[in-house]
Amino acid sequence: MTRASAGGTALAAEPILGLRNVSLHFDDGRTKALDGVDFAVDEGEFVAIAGPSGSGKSSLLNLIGALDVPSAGEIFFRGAAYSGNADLAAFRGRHIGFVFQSFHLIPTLTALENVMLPALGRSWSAAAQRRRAESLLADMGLRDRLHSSPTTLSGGERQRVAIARALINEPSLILADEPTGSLDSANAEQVLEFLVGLRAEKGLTVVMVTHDEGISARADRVIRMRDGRIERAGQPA
Amino acid sequence: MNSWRRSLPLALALIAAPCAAIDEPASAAVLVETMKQARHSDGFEARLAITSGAADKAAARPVKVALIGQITAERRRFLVRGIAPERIRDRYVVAAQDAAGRVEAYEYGPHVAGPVPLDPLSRLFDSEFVIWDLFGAWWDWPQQALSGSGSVEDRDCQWVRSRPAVRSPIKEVASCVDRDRALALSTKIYDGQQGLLRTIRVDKLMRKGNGGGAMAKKMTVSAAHGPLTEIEVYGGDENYQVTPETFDVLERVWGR
Amino acid sequence: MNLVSFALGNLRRRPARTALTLSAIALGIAAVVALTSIAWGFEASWQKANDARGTDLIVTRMASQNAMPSPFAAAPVREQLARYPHVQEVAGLLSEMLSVGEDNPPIFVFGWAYGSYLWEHLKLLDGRWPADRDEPAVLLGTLAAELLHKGVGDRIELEGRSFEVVGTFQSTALVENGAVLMTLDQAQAVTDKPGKVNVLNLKLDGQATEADARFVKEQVRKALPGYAAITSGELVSRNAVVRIAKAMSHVTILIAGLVGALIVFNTMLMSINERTREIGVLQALGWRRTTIMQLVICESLVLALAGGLVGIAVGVLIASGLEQAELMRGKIAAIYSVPFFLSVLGLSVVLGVGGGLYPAHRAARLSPAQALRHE
Repeated sequence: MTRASAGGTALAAEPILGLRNVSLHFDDGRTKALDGVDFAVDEGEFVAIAGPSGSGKSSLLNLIGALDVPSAGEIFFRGAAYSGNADLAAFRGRHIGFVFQSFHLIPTLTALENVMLPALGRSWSAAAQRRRAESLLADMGLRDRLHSSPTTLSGGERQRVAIARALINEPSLILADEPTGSLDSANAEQVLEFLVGLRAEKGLTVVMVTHDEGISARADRVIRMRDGRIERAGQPA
Repeated sequence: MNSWRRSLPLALALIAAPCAAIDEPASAAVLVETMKQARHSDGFEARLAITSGAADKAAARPVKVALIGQITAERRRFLVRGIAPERIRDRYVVAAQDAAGRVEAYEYGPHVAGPVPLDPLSRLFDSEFVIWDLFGAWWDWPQQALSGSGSVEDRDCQWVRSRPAVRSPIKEVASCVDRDRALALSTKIYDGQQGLLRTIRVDKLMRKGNGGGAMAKKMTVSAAHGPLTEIEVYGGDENYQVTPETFDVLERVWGR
Repeated sequence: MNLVSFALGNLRRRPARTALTLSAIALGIAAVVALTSIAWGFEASWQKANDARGTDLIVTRMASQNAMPSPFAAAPVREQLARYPHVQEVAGLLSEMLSVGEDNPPIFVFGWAYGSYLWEHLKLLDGRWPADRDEPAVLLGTLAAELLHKGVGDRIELEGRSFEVVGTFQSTALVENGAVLMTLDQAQAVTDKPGKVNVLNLKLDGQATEADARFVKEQVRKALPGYAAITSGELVSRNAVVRIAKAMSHVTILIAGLVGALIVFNTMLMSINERTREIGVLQALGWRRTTIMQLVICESLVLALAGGLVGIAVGVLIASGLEQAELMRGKIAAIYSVPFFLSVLGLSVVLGVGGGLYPAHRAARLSPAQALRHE
């Protein structure tokens, strides 16, 4: 198992995330999106997954996020395999927060409602959900945009709403797929700051897919992918 | 007893078999006999609304008449009484067929002095309603021939051509008969030059009150020269009590 | 925010499609409401007419499938009936649809045996009752008077005969309010049916029990072949028009239900296809399959219920429009009830759930990774 120890809080014995010989095949095995991937991520680590397009970055993130099931191998969360778990939705809701490149906000809902969306149908009281969503948006600097429609927000604001949405269920793992890919450099920097801050302030683990060398340089560790395999893992260049 | 029970269905089947064999296709004679039977009535009354001039239906006011009929082995006679509008009120036309098959008609009422003879082939009330047609005299004519199957208003029927033996102004009648209902759905009446005089088409049917067969509820008579007449039955009595007074004018005329 | 408000928002996103789907469901439900309420009203109105008269049993010719039982000579049957125990009165009735004058649509004309108990339940509003059985006089029900624009002292023409309007009356039965009433003898004369009636109404005395009524029915069955003694409810349910109206309402319910469910099905399937990626996002955000199904069913339910509510309103409007139509006035009165409206809403729920079930299932079965890749 390739495991590069990284900074700060990663001294706990059990890694938060472990992949053991994970493969993902399509078309009855003719297409190999991922082929025998091994690595682990420690609690509180900020890991960037880099590589050219088609290298398997997003497939890897989907598997980690329990959006897809590996064709072979096992994925562990705090030591427990979850790749065969029957209720992956519950697992995602409980432990994982997603941030997407194109935000994926619901246009008919306000910023506040978008943030509350993952908590819908949960046992939390509506008032508690709302308080928490308001406080998250305030943290993102959007206190005065609570009731705005996503269509009236700038790209950076939308992504901050999406980050707040990722945090509403208090996950321990944030998965971000090219979170700055649709933003200008100023907004990209701001969003990146928020993601880095999550680790520092809340001790969250962040796994981020990016092809931007400048952004991957901010991570504790970079995993470089090529043709569905890990080409190299280690400190950012 | 038991053997009877076993053999009865067999016996019935044997009797029924030839019947079924002649049922399809029916001979003209069988069909004509069916029609004669179906027309039998000890007395009926039908209230008719007769509307002429289909071109402007909305403007056309129907003429309302009561038609009383009796068709038995001994007597075939009809009485038409005008009901509305005012100009035809209590105008009567009475007609009967004699043993030779000839139809005689008379009219009487406040508008004429005593019963006067009327051509039974004449058009009544400025419409295509002709009293001769009611008698179905052609069912008694000697020449009857099947001439293929047809369909009227999506109902299947069998064409029968009837020709008289004696001299008659009507030289041929073609009827398309719905055998199950024992009703002519379409009747075409031709004169001596093989010219079509008029077509009587049944548009709507109603069930007979006794449950057997059907009768026309609405008909259209279209004359070869153009005009259309709609005849609708709006009331009546299938078991009308014909009294001696009903046809007393006819009896008096014939008694003279 | 909750699931319902989210569902409402989703429906508002495509206002034209939502409005079209809603209208289609509403039309179907409106047809169901209008036809069913009229069919029931028609039945109830006829039954009321018989009940109001105080008739216990009706004797009529059997095998009669027409709107009105066919006429028969009354005298021999009446004599027979009068002999049965507890029979207090036998009253003949003749009725026909006839045009008054030349310009009016046909109207019910009732002839009731002069001096019989049938007349007792009517309330005379104006004028007087016929002086004797042979007086060429008629009374008009309130609605008939309004429709014909006639009142006491006017004359009307029926089948070429002239009658004086001597009174107007009110009845608890709509059918009678819309009718022209005369003595049986006059009705027989005007329709040329001397001595004939459509039905004989039997009134049993105060001591008669249900068993006595059954006894009379049984006696009629044995002693008068071709005739049947039935209760007014039985007569009405045999009536061809009532039967047709009810059959039409049943067929409408079936068709509207099927079409409604298909429309919901189609709309929701289109909506699901359009929102595939969004469903993937919801799944990524931790929504369970059951929650996604709930959302889709909730949307189809909202559509169907809103369509149902609009349909009920439109149906009531159609029915009352039909009631007021010149040809129909006085002949039908739609009947509504809370259970009826609840059943219609129940039908909406069934077609909402029925139409939404498969699309919901499909949405829930989407693979989140594939859904997110969906363009």
